[in-house]
Amino acid sequence: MLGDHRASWQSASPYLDTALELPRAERAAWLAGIRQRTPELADQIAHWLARCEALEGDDFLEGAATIEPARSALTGLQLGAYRLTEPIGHGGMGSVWLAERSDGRYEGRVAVKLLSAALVGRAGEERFSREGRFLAKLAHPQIAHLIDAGVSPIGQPYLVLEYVEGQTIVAHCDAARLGVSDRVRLFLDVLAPVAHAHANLIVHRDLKPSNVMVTRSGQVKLLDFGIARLLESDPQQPFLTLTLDGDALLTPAYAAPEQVNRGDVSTATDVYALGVLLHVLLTGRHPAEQVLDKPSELLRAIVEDDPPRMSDTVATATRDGGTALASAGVRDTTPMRLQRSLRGDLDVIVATALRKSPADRYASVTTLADDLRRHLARQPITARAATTSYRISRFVARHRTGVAAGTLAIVAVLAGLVGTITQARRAEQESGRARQEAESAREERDRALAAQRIQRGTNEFLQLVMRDAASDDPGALRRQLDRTSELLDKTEFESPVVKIGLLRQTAARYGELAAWREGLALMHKAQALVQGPELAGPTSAIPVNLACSTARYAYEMGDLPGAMAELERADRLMTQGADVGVPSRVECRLYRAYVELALGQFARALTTTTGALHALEASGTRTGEQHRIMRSAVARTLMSVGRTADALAIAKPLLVESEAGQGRQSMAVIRRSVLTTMVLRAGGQPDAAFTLADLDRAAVARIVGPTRRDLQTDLELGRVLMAVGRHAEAAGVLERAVQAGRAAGPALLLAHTELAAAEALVAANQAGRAQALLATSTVVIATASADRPERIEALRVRALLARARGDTALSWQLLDQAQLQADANGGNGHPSTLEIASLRAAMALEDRQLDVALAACERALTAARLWAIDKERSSDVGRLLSLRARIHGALGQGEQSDADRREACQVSPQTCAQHK
Amino acid sequence: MPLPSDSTLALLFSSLEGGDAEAGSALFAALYTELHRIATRELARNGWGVSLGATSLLHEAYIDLSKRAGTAFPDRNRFMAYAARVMRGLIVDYARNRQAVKRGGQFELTALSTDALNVAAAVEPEELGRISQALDDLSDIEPLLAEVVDLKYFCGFSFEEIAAMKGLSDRTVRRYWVKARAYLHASLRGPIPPE
Repeated sequence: MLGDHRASWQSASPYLDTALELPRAERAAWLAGIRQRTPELADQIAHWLARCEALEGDDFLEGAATIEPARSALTGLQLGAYRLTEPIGHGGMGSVWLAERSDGRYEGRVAVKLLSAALVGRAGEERFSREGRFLAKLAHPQIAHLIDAGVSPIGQPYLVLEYVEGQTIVAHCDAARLGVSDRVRLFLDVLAPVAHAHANLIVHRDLKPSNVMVTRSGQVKLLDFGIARLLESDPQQPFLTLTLDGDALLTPAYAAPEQVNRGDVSTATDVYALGVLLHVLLTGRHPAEQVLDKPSELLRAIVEDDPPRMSDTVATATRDGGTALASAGVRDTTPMRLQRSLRGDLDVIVATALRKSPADRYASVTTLADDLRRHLARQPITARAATTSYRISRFVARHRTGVAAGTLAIVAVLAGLVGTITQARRAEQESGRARQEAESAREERDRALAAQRIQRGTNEFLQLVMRDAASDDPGALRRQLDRTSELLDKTEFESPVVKIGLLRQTAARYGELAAWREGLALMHKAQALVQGPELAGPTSAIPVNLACSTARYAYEMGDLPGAMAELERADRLMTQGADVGVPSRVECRLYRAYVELALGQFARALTTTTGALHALEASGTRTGEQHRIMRSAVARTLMSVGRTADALAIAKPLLVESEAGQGRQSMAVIRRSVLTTMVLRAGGQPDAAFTLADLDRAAVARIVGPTRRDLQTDLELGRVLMAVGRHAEAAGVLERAVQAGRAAGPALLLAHTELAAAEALVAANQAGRAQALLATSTVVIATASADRPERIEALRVRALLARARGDTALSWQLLDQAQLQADANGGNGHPSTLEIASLRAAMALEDRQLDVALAACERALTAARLWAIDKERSSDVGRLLSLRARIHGALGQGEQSDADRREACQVSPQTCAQHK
Repeated sequence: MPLPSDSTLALLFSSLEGGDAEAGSALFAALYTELHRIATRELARNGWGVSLGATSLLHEAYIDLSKRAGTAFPDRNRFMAYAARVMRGLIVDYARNRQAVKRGGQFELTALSTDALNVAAAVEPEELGRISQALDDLSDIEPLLAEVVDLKYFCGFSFEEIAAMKGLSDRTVRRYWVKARAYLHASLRGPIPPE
């Protein structure tokens, strides 16, 4: 046995010296270099190196051999006024004895700590006397106090301490089956004496369950300042620090990273240990539970691994074999409830205490205590805000170096492809590059790894940014995004691919908040990074995807020609061989449909969306978010040509589905709700529409914050209010929306909102305000070509306004123009036809041009019936039947007038009631 | 064994350093006797018993011997280097004797734990014997590594003290320790079981 490894040792030994001086991370590469020349030697070195590394933290040959007398020999030893009765502990510094007063003056028992003779005259003695000095200084009811100190006849120093009878805090809590809140309250009692020590510049350095006792009367007592240290006060430093003096004293399970690394110890070191203690108290599990029994792994984990979220650990079994049920049981709860009560604040508090860098932890024990008290009082804790920016900065730091290899795969990932690897490989084959099999296998693995990394990274990023968004703080998402894009600006990434991905994701989040201007800026930054043959080559999907996404932003900004140009460019690249998957193609079609809708090309838009949905389903995708988005788009385009019943048949189940999955918590769900509202209103069911619009108003305030507005929701709410006759309210909502939209908002939507606001103001008898509003309207309306929907709407609204101001001639002139344009762009199917015709009818009736009125009313009625979800139940049809009744009345056709009135009552009871 | 005269000890040291290999075993025997005498004396002086640290024993021995031998005696660092090996022998023997003779329960051998885990790992005498054997083996090929183990584990000196004693950097001493530990672990425990 001995001889076996001797030869191996002799050849490896000199190399070991070199290897051990290298940082761990570099050893493998160094070894690989040797392996190339002499593989056998490399094996031997690797063997010994592995053993050296495995022994790190192991207790093999730890400590020192010493000659000790039998412990029983000390029993009865007289030290000052005390006689040792029985040993109660034996530690690194010596032994601890239970003792009693020999002169009978004092009944109580005490603990005597006796320094091992082996340490007399050495560092141990200094440490021992230090503990005595500290305890003398730290008079606190919750710190086991010093009663006496002295030196034994043979020169062994000893300390006489208060004897604490009780249990460790963990045993106490479990025995009493304390619940989470009670445990937190008891833990606050631990913080008080620690804070007291810190105030005296003393850091404990060894906080762990066995040093935190609870007496029978329930009082927390802190023990063992054996390795406590006095801190140097330095006003320049945020923490009081000391440099560790070579002694490796630490309890690995409760050691902070800086203790393992022999860095500066500070009050933050105690904060860390307290974090571990709190974790153990609350969950029954150590943060590094998995590796707790492997010392070297544990030390590495303390320095390197972010512990899992505390609440996620309670579903697992404990290290000592306890089940999740049992550990919840001693907390007087169930695993699921325990998880719920830990999730959120307590997770954040423990994670903050356990940060790797002392500067990232709670600045003091007192701030930790404050957050716990806030949590108990259900007030917002301070650590939350810091947590998100901390997470983002950690994320960016980790991805700073970027990804070096496998660009093709990355291209595929960015394209949002599912079959990443196959796609990449096919592209490679098509480009005709022959490769050795082994090489391609390795590359494939590299690509897969790189792809995985990016996918993981961007997913993580999304979660990062989204995590706090839906929670209690409504404006949080927006602030997160601003911080993130600032961070992206400042950070240099080695690989542009990662940065492009992040820019795109961040832009998309802005998009969800309708902050298109910010999103477009990020997209331009992303496009500027697409350079070189791998990113911008003919088969690359990146330029295509970026072009399509950018089109979306340009569209929302009101730049329809710009958007169309990007889409045409994308089409061109796809025809030229860009390898773009179905999902990305479908997305491009979606944006095209948006642009077509905005241009008033309704029929074409419908063809585009139905085509895209078919393509998606043909590729096998019949579920998922993209499928839902496309269904929504089909519904939208169906509605735009007046097929409201078909639209509703898609929109309503879609809304129910999305809401079931996510609740009314994301803008995606709100959009679907707004779409349904729109279909209901346009389809002549404004009451049902109003119910939804009201829900959306509240949900949006939660998501974007009470001070920000979502234009689309407001516009729809305003229109619905108009449709149910609440004109003044509509005017209020729409005017505020215009104000917000003019500050920052999508241009097209703003134009429509301005027009709706003006219409509402006229209806609310505020023509002056309407006039002022239109006079300051955006450029989009003035510059858009005459057949654009918003231009036609503008003509109609201006006609309304002119009429209200008594300018009948102008009013007719504008209305004729509007009718002409609507007829040229869809006729009865055009969304404006119904309102134009019904306005013409009403005006003609007032002007006593009864034939014109009747003809216009018929026209409007036809349009209303076309648009109605249900011809027999439509407020629009009802309203127009009432109008026709009045026209018939004016014409002296009483019978027809009565018939109209009866029909109106059937089709729309509300209208009927209004007339009576 | 008769007590060597103090001048004999000094002579043995200088002979050894002059290359006389024979002097080695004689010096070992002489020092062993000396350390044993001092240990017995110290333990007897504190009749009720107290743990006896190797370091304090060595200090005691050095002061005793250098006083008697005068200027010819080697300096403290050189003395410790020799005495450390002797100390190991003494401790291993004590452990074995305790097993064989049970001298009134007077001695108890523990590893003085410095990891503050409140667990003092008791070391079996057989284990100590095996460590000693493996150390002798290591001493043949890398004497410096073995010496670091003697000074650290058997004599209780800190890395800093050893570094100062041997004129090495603290870092180097720690690296030697890591290497020696790996070697000894391989000797005692065989191959690492795969995890």
